[in-house]
Amino acid sequence: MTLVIKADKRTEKGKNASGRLRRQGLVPAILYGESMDSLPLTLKKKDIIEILKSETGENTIFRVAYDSEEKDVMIKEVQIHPVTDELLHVDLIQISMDKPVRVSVPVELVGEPVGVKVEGGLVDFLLRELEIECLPREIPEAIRIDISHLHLHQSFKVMNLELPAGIKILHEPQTAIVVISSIAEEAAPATTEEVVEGAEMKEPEVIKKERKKEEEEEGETKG
Amino acid sequence: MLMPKKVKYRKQQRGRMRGQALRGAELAFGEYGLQALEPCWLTARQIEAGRVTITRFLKKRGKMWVRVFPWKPVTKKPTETRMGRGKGDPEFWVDVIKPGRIIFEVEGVDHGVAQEAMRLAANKLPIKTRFISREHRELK
Repeated sequence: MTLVIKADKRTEKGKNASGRLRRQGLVPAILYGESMDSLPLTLKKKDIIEILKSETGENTIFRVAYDSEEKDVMIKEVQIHPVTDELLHVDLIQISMDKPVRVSVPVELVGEPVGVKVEGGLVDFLLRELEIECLPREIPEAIRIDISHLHLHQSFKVMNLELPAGIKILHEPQTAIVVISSIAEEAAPATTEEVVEGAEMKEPEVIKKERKKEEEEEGETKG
Repeated sequence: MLMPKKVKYRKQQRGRMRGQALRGAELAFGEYGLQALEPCWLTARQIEAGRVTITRFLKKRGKMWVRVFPWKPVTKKPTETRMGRGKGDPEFWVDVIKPGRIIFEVEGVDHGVAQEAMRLAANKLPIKTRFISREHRELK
């Protein structure tokens, strides 16, 4: 059963009006989609937080009800205050259940790689979210990757993924998701830079001066 | 010490530090990070001190990223100089930090180790910071 969230149409716009809404435990939102004009809404903050905390997270499909209408929507973007972690604004996108959507799905790593357990490597998680295209009903909660067989300097690439039919990956097949890198390589530059610490500070090159000089030199050669 | 290799202008005006960090406020590489809660000019020395502290504490475990870079020159007039006669010479380099900015990131170590590394690094910084991780983000 799909979740239905009540919303109100928002007539007041702008910083002050949004601030007033937030103080009442509401959150300003905007709904848009392929066959509709954008519509400013007001949602209950509690409802959106509940959706974001659910297992499907941002990719949850729910219905938003305003006036006498109900629409299938998904969260397109969430704005969160960087310091207070307060939910500031939500972008909702109207979806149709028979058209594929583009979403990013989190990657979950399964197992401890041989390269870490035995060979003393480090899991370098390069791509934590994968962009996929599929029908709304087929969006997976997460893409699980078994990395237990990976040795040192080996990687798991997008082309190695085994996904169910109907899910299209939007990354290049050669893109690495996980690399088992050696710790010694990672830590190496740290020690070399420490030596430079005491060195005298030189001024960096000024690009503009360089050009002027070049122009002058060119002028001299022409003359 | 960190500083740009090339600059377009030798000296810059000071500017203001209003508002929150618009960019660089999300964890981009690692599992854990240190986030600034106050605005400041973070000098190249402070960044370096934090970086060295984390590297020494991690002892070749895990991987770290420095997400800030001192791109802004700060000028200073020599001591006992009369006012006037133009702007002083560049003395040191800073990055303008606004609340929310991620300063360091760490990966490949447990929560406890990362937290301790960040605590030690935070001691080297002139501002209040907080430890953040991808797992725990309590929305309000």
